[in-house]
Amino acid sequence: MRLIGSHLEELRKLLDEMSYVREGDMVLAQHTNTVLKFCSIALDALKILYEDYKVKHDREIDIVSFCIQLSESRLKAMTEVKHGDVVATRDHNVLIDVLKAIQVCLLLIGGRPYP
Amino acid sequence: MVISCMPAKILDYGVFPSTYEVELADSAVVGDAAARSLSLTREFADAFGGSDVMSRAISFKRMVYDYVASGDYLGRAVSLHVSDGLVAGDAVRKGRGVRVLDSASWSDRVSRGITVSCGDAFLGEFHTSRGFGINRTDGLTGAEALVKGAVKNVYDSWVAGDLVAKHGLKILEDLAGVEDYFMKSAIKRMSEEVRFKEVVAKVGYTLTKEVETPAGKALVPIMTRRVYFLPEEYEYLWDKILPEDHNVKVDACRTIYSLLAWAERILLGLRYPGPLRDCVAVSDYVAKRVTIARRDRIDWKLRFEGPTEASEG
Repeated sequence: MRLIGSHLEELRKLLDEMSYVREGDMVLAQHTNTVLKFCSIALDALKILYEDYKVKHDREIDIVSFCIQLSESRLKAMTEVKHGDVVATRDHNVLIDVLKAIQVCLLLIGGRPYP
Repeated sequence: MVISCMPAKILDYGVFPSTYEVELADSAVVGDAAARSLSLTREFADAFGGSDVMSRAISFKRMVYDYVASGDYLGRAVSLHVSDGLVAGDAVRKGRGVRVLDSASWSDRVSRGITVSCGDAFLGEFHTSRGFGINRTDGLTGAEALVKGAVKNVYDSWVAGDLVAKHGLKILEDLAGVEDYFMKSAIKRMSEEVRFKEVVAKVGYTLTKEVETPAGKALVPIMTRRVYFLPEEYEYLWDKILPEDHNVKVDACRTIYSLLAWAERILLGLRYPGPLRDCVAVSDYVAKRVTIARRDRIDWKLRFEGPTEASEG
């Protein structure tokens, strides 16, 4: 039985599409869109895990609830970019905010897998 | 805000306009409105007080009443009946009135279209009616019959005086305007000073990243930042999105993937094997067991087949 098996498969595909860049590389719309899709799917998976957590532990974590709500609101303000669009600071800041919030939630729910 | 609930770090600070400017703008508007209001004009009119009054307000009739001694009569009628005692004050009625610039020397009665010069040493009664000229009844010492031309002259002088008065008022208004201008300038300077006290904080996050260490995998913190685009006057505070900003996001995504898989296994009660290290470990463990078994078997076989006595024999 898997809770987020399909989500993890999609996330793995997106991770394979991601690539590191260095100075002089072209800024592609794919760079932003891939991370944006990753954040959306990861947020859905996080919500599933959090619902399961609440059922099993019969309690909520305020920070997690807040971070999920925050991430949803932030992602609503974000749309996919296309070729020719201006690289806005919002595109970077929204993704960073959401990644940070998801990481905080996962560390609170599941703990650290590594020291 | 996002930054308030998370580990954040202030990277830089600078100047930035904020709500202070709005508050000061409001005060400037209030001051401007006060300067332009009629109340200020009324204050100027009041300042002329006993010596000269410039007002066409109906309420001024009462002031005229006060200036006239007891026994005098001032009614709504056109005529003004004054026996004596018009010693001080300046009165202008709406449409009709009396204007006394200097009671010791001469008095004027001014009305719309009618200007009467009482000359000096005016002590007795006088009576005016609507129309040009003056109708003296009696008791005027040094009485003068003012003809139309004389009236005109007096009128001119009144006009001149009025012009002076208006000019004086205009000067006062200008002074008020200048004062108002200074006030605005001062407020503007204050707003500029306030603006330079504003700060803007650039915020950065601490994300986690998987790294390989000699002791195995580990999560290490990595610094990332939010980027800011400020007004042009703070161009030196603009941020440029660097390749590291994108690479940090990729690292964070990889970590999130691991954390999701780990959290799922934790919730399912599958603490062992873990998502990455433990999964690999269990497969490695099974493989090693199989390898060992095969090796044992092979060793045993080798040992079994080892003796080649039969062949040798």
